Amino acid sequence: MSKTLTIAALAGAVAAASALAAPTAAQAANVKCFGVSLAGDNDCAAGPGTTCAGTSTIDYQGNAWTVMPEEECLNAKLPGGRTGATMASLKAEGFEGLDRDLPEGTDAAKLKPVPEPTA
Amino acid sequence: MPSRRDPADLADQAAFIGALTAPRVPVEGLHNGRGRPAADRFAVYRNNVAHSLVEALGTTFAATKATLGEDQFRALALTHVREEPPSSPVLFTYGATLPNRLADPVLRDLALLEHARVQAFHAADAEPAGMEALSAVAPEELPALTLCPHPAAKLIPMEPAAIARFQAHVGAAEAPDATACLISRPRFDVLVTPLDAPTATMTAGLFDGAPLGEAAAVDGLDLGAALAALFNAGAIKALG
Repeated sequence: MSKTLTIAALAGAVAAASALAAPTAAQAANVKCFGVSLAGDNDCAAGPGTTCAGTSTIDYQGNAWTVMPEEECLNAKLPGGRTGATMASLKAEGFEGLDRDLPEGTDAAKLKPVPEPTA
Repeated sequence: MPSRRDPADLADQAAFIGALTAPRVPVEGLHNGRGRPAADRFAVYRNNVAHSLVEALGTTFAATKATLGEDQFRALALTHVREEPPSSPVLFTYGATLPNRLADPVLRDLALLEHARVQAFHAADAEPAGMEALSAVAPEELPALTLCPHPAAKLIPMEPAAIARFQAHVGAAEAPDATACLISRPRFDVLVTPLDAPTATMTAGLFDGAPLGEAAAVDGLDLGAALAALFNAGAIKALG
């Protein structure tokens, strides 16, 4: 195609588009929160072969996640001294989940070691 | 324990799998724990397999099902399950070829959109580029700028009537000028954005890697609105 637009036309359109842009802050608050889902109630990711929603088999399974506001994830009150962890914080340390409350035979190589829950 | 590669074993498995999706075909030598014939039990299992796959297709193709009606969709899905059983254990990809069974182009496009929408849900995660990234580009660099599509973003050209059907099904506003739908999943929710013909042409060009100056040279294009639609949908991953 030989036809192209002028710089002025493009710059004007970008300015117009900025005015039409939707604010992003409001929808950015939700995160993937690991280790807080009740059995069968996770949103996604419950280990190899069972990569999707509703497949976790253990309450608070460490490699399953639920989508929720970040604040709620960090302040989640769970039994036995458990805490939730956001996907971003786990990823920053090179982990893909929490090493607790796992179905038998789960490969925990990439899961973050955490204290054993007391209940 | 017999080896998994025992040819006799494989022949048994092939017969079993073949009978699973074929109504009323018996499986030779199938017996229950007490050595009695297990044909009745197998019939129950066969029905469960077919039913679960029909249900899965009904979930993926919800608007198509609502348009066709329960009975007609069920017949279509059952035929699909019998003639093209899943080739992968991953259920969300199942049904990719179901749209080919619909002769009506409106229904076929609707089904194609619905399947693509489910694939977008499972595409790789990536943080989409915001409008501020585009605003930050120096004006003289805009003509040669390329916009790299987000991994979940896909452009689906469609019959306008199919877009209307989908919009009505999900309770979204009518888009009478739309000739394509942009599917995107910037974070957790899949978005379907109807695009008018000039915007769709520009988007197709950008997704093919054409620079902005070329891709945006389309008659009748409202470039400002088109760029806002792409960025608001989170369909762009990076600027290059």
